[in-house]
Amino acid sequence: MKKILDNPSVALGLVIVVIMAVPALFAPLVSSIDPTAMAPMERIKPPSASHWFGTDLFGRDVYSRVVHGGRTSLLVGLTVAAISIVIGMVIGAASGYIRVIDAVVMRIMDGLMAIPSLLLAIAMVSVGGASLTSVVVAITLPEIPRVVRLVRGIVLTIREEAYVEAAVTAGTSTVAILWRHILPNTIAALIVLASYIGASAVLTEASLGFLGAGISPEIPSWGNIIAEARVSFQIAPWILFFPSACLVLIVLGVNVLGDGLRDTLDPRLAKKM
Amino acid sequence: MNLSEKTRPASGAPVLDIRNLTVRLPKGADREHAVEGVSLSIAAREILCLVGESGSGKSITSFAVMGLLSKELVPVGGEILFQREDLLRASPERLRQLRGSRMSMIFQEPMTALNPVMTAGRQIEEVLTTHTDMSRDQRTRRVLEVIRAVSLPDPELIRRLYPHQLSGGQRQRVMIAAALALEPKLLIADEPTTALDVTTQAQILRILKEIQGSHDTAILFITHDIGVVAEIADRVVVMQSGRVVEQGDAGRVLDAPEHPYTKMLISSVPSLTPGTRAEAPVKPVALSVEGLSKIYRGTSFFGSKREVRAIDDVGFTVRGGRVLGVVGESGSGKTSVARCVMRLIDCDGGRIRLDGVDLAAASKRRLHDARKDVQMVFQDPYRSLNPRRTVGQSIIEGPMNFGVPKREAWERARRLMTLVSLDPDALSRYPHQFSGGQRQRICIARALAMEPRLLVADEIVSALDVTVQAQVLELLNGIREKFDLAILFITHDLRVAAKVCDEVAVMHRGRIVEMGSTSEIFASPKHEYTRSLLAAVPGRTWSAEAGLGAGGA
Amino acid sequence: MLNFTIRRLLGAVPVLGFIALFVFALLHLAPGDPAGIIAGEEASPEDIARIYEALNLDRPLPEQFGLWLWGLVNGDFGVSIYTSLPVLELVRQRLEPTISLAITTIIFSVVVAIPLGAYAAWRAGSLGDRAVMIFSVLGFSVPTFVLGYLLIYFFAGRGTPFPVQGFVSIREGLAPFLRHIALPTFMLGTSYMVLIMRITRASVLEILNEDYIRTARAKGVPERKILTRHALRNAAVPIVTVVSLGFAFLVSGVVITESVFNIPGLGRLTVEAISKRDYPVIQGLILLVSATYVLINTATDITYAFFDPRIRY
Repeated sequence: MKKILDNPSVALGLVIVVIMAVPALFAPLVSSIDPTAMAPMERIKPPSASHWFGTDLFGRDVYSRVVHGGRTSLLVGLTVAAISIVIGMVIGAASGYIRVIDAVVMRIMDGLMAIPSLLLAIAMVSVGGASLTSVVVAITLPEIPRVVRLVRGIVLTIREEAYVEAAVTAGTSTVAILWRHILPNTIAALIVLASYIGASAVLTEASLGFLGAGISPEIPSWGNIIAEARVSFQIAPWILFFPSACLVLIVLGVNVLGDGLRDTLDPRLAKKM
Repeated sequence: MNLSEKTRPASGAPVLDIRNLTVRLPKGADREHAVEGVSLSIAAREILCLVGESGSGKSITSFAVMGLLSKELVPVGGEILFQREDLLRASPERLRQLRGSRMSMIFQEPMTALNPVMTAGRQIEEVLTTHTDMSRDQRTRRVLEVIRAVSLPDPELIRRLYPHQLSGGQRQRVMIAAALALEPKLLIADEPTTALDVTTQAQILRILKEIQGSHDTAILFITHDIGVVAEIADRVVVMQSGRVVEQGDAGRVLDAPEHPYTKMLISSVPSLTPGTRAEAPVKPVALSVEGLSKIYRGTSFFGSKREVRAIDDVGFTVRGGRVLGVVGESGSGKTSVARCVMRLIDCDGGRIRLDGVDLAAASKRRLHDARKDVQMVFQDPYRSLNPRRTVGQSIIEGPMNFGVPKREAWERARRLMTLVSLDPDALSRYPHQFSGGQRQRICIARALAMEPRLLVADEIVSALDVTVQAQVLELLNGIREKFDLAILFITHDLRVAAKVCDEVAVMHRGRIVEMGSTSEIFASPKHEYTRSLLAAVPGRTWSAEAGLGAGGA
Repeated sequence: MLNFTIRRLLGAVPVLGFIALFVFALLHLAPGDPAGIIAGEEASPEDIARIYEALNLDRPLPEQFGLWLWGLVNGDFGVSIYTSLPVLELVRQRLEPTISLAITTIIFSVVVAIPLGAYAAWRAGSLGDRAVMIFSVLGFSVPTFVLGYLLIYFFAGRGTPFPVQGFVSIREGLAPFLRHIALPTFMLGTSYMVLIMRITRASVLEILNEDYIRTARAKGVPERKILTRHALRNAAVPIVTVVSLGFAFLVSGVVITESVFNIPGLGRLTVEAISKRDYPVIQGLILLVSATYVLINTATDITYAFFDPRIRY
């Protein structure tokens, strides 16, 4: 653990992520202004002491909106990473160890991978409405094959190891072999992959918002704020600047963290992700 | 002894003269210097064998000569004089010019030492394009010449083939051809035959000797195999833990070693003459195999079926307290036999009877029960223990699968650790805290924890140094007597087979070509293949016991 | 070889089938009436009835799927509600700008990424390597649209060498084409380039530790040639793989890039379809893009033999 924290990338990434995540987690405490409260008199004001990040076209406080939007981003990033890792691990382990289902599962994964996440999300939102759930599902689905492929690859290698064969000859059951001898080998890779998936989910959510196919505009999200800011980009660049900067910072933080974890846990992963 | 018949090396200034070489290890290594105060010299037309076990610094010495040391290893003292030029003080560019032209090197693993996406011819030609301005035609002619010189058939064809289309022995010859393309003054061979089968090894050694006869090349031959030393060395340098402990003419060092380490090293080499064993009372049959066969099927992309008969109608029996050796070269099917007996793979026919149960046809439940009676020890001690689990957890896993309470299993594990000469308190440690030999002992303890009737040992000493190998074989012998265990011993090493096996089955292309008592087979082999196998064993006319005896050790 | 190609192409069929099934299920298993979703919000009862008829919605689901699939095979990808034009026709009209952008982006990314990645691996741990790695993580983290607006911010205005709006066909001259497509290419190419660069670095780094690299050094081959002739050639398969897998990545980027720079391509078509809730167009685009992706990957598999003689057919 100490060795992991000694890696400069891990330390830097963690610091950035914490700095970005804490205000979002405690959004109602950090900003007392209602992110949806409109104030026609206060429209398009540049950053000032009362409005740190300025105000938008409807006079809403951009700082408050960005902080609350951060919650959406974090929520999407964490949920997508968690769900795709859990589902991907189960499918990957089964596919790597049970020959019969492997061919079918892998064709389905090839199919899922072929559908660009952005287009899938657009389709799901246009069918199912612009809810947080459909956005999360749409971003998660195309990430699952990445996890499946990674886990399956590791399972296929490890099952050939002599210590797994020794366990077979010692009469250990298949489930115990997977759990005791094989899956622990995937943890390092999955931690790293989870960070990359989280970062890319945050980006995709923002991209969806940007295209007007994301979470409904009533809920502040960085994508929504940026989408609305496009119109007034030339006259009020700050509305675009602050959420963009936050987005870049958190994604950068998570990616730096992921790279650092990869280099300390297993540098060979660089080729597999 | 054939050593004395060799032509004496030409006298004159040495081609290579290493004086007091010291190479520093990175901080945190188990010792400060990889190589310390090493001095040796080689004359033209001389084969010098550099002998030692893993970690002795023999490879590092040779890499220092070539200027190919990795960045962490820094030469900090001494000089390496190559034709009077100090290589340690030469510029990287100068070293590069010398490499491949005046000094060249071949490596241990012919499988990985060639670039997989370049043809053999182009890899040889690369030496010529790098160091000469020969025309295309001249280069092609030279490539064909050197391919012919290493006795490869059909040079025109070989030139156009990719490494994966060549056998291990052929690849090593391509490596030698590339190394000799510019007639270097010095050829360094780093364990060039270790990864090869014994008959292929004999061919490569013969080629190297021919080179010595026909060229002026000095050969620095690095090996751990005393048999190989006896076969080809003019002089020997013995290294231990980074230092030279003894050097001298091959005949003298092998027959009358002076340093205690050299004596131990030489006495650890099993003799090719099987020892006589007291005739034990005949015990019941533990394992009987009949008509075993295994076919690997592959479908080529053209839809035709390819079949490889890995095991073809194999039958044998092993009695309690006896060791049956299955010997053969790679691809002979010996490991497939072991895996079929363990039911790690399913066979395609035949019976494997153990205590009346036919393992080949056993249902899942019967098989589970039968697993207790047959256990296996694997080749690679570094991969046969789960690195994330303590050795104790690994040992008790099996017994606990069969309902032994944890406490009792743990007690059993402690007893077994003592049996294999390890500290019982070490059960809570992880595999990486043990050496290769210790791990192999742990694996034996793990197998014994199941109280099996049959132990399958698949090349269990081939990854170990010769001195450690001797200890593990000793341990196995003790266990066999103590538990009346039947042992199926798979090996490619005929010396090892001679030492431990009561009976031997010789496998070739999936079939047993000859089977009988070890002493009979080694004394008067009947099958032609057995004879060629025995003839290929390096240093077969030399034996450690005789040597030590003559030297009055 | 021909045999293998046919086999690989046949192997792509079930994948394509799964994608079709998935897209079909998306519409038919979602809550709500498929006809309602397709017709859009302002549809009259007659419209809905017409769609009911066209999609055979009164028949059992498997039969609907079969008929729909048959239509796809025959090039019937549906009809846009908004323009009443066949989806395929809409796509044809918008194809040129997108293809142009994709090609310039791939060329730009590959030409920059491979030398940089190989250099970073060769000098692993050096300042240059670290600079490349920092650039790579930045390129990975800056969303395409943020990068796009940064570019617009710096290049917008009179007399700019690189216009920030629109598309000019290559038929109207190479110079104006390149001037217009430069910024979108840079915007779209950055993350793609970084992806290729990271894989190039990782692969070359791994290969530089292989035994045959040591053999090449022992032969006295100069370092530069070791890098180009031995290492890069062996790294070709993973690099080509990521270039082709990155296509999915590129698609998402195209939608955003065309939207930011007002390029009338398939990406704009997608965005317009979203804003007008033109479901048949969205559906058709997903099918076409996914099929293209599968075919590109299949083609890539077939080219592997060219890079690696061990892969035989």
